[in-house]
Amino acid sequence: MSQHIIKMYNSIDAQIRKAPTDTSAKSNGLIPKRENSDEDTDIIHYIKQLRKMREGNNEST
Amino acid sequence: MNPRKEPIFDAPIPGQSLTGELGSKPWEQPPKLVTVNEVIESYMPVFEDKAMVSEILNQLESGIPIIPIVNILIKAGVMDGDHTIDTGLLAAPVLIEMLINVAEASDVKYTVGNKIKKSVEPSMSAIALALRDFDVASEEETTLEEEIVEASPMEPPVEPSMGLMTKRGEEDGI
Repeated sequence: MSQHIIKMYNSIDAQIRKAPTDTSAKSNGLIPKRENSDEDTDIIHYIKQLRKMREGNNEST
Repeated sequence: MNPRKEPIFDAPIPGQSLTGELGSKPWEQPPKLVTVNEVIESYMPVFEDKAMVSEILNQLESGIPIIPIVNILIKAGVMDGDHTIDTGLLAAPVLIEMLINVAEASDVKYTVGNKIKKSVEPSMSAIALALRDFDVASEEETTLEEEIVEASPMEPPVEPSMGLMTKRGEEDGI
């Protein structure tokens, strides 16, 4: 299970580190492209907040 | 090679886990927490408990990476029937970041454990096991060589008898 956690962590880490792109879902057909699930965006949001907190703590010390 | 010489008799019988009543174990019940947010919130008291945090920091100081600790936390939650393994896995990155924050706040050196080693160095236990196997193999070889030496001592080659009563064909090889 550790391997799954590593994969999950690395993929989210890569997702956060990569340059922000156009997040709007483009579609050529009738069916719109699926966006990221709410849970994924929540996790990324949490991690970003935690990293901001850490950076703030490091700067203050 | 199996390092264990003796068979284990106190191990569970295959299929023993299926003999219990279905739903008797906590993880066979529907989970108490369904969403990832609920799962993350359920782990927050862990980081508020001073005793728990000091234990985790001790583990980190002794060189245990963060990911195995998170793995244990999630497995414990699944065993208690709090959440499923899927939601636990989704919550894992947040728990890892929380532990990193805790470690950095208390100036403890830590390793996340997400880097896969390319050149795997053998552990001390693996080296010891290999050396023991090598010793056993060399001992077996030496005993085999001794047996061979004992079984075939240097005997002089038997010369064919050249008596008067021998047949001509036997002498000439005809």
